[in-house]
Amino acid sequence: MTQVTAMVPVAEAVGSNRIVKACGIVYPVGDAALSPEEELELRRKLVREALAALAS
Amino acid sequence: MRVVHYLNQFFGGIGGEDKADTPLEVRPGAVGPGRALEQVLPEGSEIVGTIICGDNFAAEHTEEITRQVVRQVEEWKADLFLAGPCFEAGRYGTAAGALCAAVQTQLGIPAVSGMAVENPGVDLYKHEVYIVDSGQNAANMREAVAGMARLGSKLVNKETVGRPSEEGYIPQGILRSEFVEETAAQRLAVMLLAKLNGEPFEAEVPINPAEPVPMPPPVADLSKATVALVTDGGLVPKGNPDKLPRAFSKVWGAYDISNQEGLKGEDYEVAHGGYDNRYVQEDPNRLVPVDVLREMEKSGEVGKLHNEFLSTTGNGNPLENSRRMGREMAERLKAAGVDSVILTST
Amino acid sequence: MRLSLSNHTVSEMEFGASTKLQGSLLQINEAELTQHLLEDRRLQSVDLAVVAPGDSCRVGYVFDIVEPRAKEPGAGTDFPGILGPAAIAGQGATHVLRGAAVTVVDGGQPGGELGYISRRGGMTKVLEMSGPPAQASSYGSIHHLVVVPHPRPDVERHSALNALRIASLKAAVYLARTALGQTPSDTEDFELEPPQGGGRNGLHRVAYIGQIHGHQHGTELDEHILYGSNTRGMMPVPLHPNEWLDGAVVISYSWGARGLETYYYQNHPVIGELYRLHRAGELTFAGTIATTSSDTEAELSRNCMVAAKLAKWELKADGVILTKYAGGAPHTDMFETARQCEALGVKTAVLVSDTAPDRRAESAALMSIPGVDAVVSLSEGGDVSWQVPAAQRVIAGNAEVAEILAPPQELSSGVVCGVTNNQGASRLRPMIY
Repeated sequence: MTQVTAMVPVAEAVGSNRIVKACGIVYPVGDAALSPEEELELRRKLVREALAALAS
Repeated sequence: MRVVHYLNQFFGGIGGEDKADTPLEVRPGAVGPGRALEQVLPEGSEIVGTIICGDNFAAEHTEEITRQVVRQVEEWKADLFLAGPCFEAGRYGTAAGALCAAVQTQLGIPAVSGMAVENPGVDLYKHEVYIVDSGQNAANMREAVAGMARLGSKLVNKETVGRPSEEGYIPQGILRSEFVEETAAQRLAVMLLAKLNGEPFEAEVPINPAEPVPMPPPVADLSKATVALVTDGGLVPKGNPDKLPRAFSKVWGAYDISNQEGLKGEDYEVAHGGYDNRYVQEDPNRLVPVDVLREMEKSGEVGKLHNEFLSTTGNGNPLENSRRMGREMAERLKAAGVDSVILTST
Repeated sequence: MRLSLSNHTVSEMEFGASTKLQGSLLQINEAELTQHLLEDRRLQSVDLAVVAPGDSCRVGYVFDIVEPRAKEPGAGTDFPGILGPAAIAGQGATHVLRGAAVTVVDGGQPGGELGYISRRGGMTKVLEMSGPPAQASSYGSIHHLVVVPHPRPDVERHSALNALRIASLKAAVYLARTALGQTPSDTEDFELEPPQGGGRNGLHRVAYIGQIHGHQHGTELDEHILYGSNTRGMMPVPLHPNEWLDGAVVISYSWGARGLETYYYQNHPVIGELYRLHRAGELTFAGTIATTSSDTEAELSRNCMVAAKLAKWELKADGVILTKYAGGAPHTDMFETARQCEALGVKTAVLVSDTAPDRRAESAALMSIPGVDAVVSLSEGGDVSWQVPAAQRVIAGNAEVAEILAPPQELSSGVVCGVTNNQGASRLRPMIY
């Protein structure tokens, strides 16, 4: 399991082993400030990071 | 007050480690430490009987001896069940804790044990059973039985039980809020000054870091793996079918996404009350990234996106509850053949 | 920087022909104050009520509680950046009506669940004026002018909340201006020596790092928190303690602002205690840092680092006290800031809100970090509550809330203003049994 979270210290404190930094508490894998295309690209990047963590 | 006392083979006078396989036996009246106990029990009390069992026998036949002990205690019409003191003896403490818990719940009469803080029976039973801090060895026998007798008679008389330090029992790990004279600000200043001066201080809540979680091996081949999405951000279908609350959730839901290319705001709502949900409501993929995982499934980057996502509200949850929900979720996913999980947290 | 508070005791409050302070009797001209508040065209009406300690009265939902204060003419601006232009708060004379408060009720706050934006405001915060809950809160022993502003229906929610904020402060200043020209009951001076290396005679230098918002709840663009700023993108900023006391900071609208009121910035428990110990020669009060909890990881890392750095090298602190905004996410920022302080050799004590709903000690701390071991709790667990009778008088923002508040019910300690307080006023604490 990979945990994607903006609150990395909490994830670490509860013993998560695979952690990816999220964009924000209010949108872990998104960013409302970006254009839809940019946001989608960002989400692909984050999900790929999460997948890479699963595979390592 | 009628008291039934439980002892292991050693304190029951049968013998040492070589007699640890002795099956359960029952004797009228007090035996061994029971005599010291009788002297400190309130007037008019008596030990009506003693139950003795070998440590190994008790460990290997726990269910059986639990049934026997409960039946015997009931038969003797006891008001109170005392087990030990067990000091550091681990099998003895574990059996004593289990028997106390069973007698309490099945017969509704109070039970008290006595153990050293290090005894494994403490961690297992301190939440439900009052365990007097007996110290490490039988040199403390007198104080230990006195503590058990005092606490036991308080429980029988339904008197208010005070703080662990006042009553001599091992803290049960239960919090009770109380009003105190000093404000939090004053307590903070006192604690900080103590820390700065190298003096002792005690945190008001336990601050034990979580135990490490074993790390599962890496996924060997993502292009063959089934990936599931789980979130504690509270995304649920419109109407919130499982009635996930805004916080302190005891429930979680599994929601089908097998025919979806991505999630649409009009189909979902956010149950979580601890963050500004407007952005996820607008585009739920920001929390549960079905859209990009579907792409990656098509392109072969991942083998399969699991056909449902799991969701709960993660805020304010007691550990025990979170552990249970985590276990249940893992079981469901495992049974469905899921290899890997991306958990998004808010 | 010296702030001089001129305290005027109020022991009675009533409506009357003119607004004036006569001895300790505060008389308020209802129509005049109403007119004053209705200058804000976003409000269509305002209800006012006077409430005294011991009254069988329940008020809700509370938007904020503010102590009536007004600057001596020429000494500065009241609530700078919100009611007036930017000006440094915390210097010169300020008149205070002690024993009085302006309590603002959110007239637009529905009782039910109507989406996130409706929850910003005075969600379920109640002022109870009699019985044990009133005794457990310092608000139970003072006189309140309750203000219920009713925004026009076409005013957007964020703007309505802004109108409530303005009304709360205008009413507080309006009342306190009655004290101008009067002899105070007593005066208190707040002054620190300028920062210097090393403590006074080797005393420990102690600073305060306080969160003034939790960004997991967002802010409105027109929301006032620090000198009128909405604090979006804010980095930690050193403040003189007097700035907190004198109107630089107000609470956010947030539903997450439960357990916080502007009153306790004006009478900040931590700052008050550090000033007391500073005067008593037990420590040197090194200053304060205002910060927010973040909603992104990048901001969290940056802000925690900057706050720790300011404490260590700008304030030259040996130790800091940290408090947080309400809710879970702010814990993270507070603990991370504390961790970074400890790593720099600055000792910490933190105020957490243990919410363990099962009251198991293992659930009490949201997180633990080695070294962050001085932990005080305000006990938000909800295991203390009171069975209260029907209130003879209910002052509510709307009929729906009035119906909820009126009958006999169980009031949880977390709901009653002034009991579980994140600013350091809480007298509740968890005991481990």
